[in-house]
Amino acid sequence: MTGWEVEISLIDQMYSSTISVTLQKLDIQLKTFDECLLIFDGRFPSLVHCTIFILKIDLTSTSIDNQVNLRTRGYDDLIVPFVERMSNVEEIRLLLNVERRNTYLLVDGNDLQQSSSIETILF
Amino acid sequence: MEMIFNNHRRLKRFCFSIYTYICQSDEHFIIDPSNYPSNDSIEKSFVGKEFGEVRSYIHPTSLKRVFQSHVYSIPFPFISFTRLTCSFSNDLFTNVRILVLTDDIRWNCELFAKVNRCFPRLETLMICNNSAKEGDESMSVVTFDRLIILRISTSTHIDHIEQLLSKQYICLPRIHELTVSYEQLNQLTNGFTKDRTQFNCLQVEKLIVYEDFVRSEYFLLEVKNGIRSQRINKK
Repeated sequence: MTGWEVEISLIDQMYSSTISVTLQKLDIQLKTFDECLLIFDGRFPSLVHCTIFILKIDLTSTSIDNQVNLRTRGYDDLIVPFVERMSNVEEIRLLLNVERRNTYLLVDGNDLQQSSSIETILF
Repeated sequence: MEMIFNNHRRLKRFCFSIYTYICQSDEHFIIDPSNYPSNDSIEKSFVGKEFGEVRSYIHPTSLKRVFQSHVYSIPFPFISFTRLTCSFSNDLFTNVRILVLTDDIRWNCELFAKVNRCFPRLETLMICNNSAKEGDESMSVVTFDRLIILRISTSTHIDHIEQLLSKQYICLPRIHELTVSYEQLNQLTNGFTKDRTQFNCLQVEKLIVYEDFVRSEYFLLEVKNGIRSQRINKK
């Protein structure tokens, strides 16, 4: 299967099976971050290039513990482990708008470092 | 690569655009602006870390409880650039086709010339700024050669709508789709009675307005095979 350009009911199927053993390129818009994780769970073993668009990454939509959500940040707990997980990739392009409240910490070079050193058990 | 990429042995390239919006929404939170990093310190945080060339800028804002910063790789790899404010870096963004320009401080007259210079392949421009224009110096006309879609937010000050739509300031030879408040368009054109050749509306095939409206007597109907002025009886 190549060249999908139509909206597909992909995600329901993804919970149960391998979608394609041959698909190399996937451009997809997703509603939740959970679905994003599923793409890299062996369901597309031949994937070479993947572009994912998520309009809003909402902590409450993820499967991690709600109590943890209350005191942690989406960037650290979702994005960083996600990037760390993709250990075989040759190129990463990351486009993010991050919203934070009641803090002075923004995402800069140090934050990229510090965040990434946090051991997260998402995966 | 540092830390985040310790396990990425094959990684050859990492590029990014990260915008951070901080809001001190807790009323009991005492804001001390000196706790925010300076632009220099943000830039230094990337030095020597193999992130490649990085730009950083802090967005000036009139809102005390808000702090915004944007860091991104150069050359900028993405086709869209959101949340650009007037203080953006003077680089060439040749990949960008879609630009969202939002601000709450006054823009000076040179902003659109800078946007045009730095974003030479721009096809879609969305703007929002409720502050009036700063100064009124006469400038040479800015021509956005490739701009096809222009979306102007309802809360945008009429100064900027005038600047974008009046050929006195800006020329949009390929504009195809225009989104604008009908009331503001009505006000700008003096009830659609001004000379239409003064405005960047002749090529527009699709006009989108936000509100319900009663058509002005001189409302211009823009149709595919050329614009024509139609006199429409008021409802």
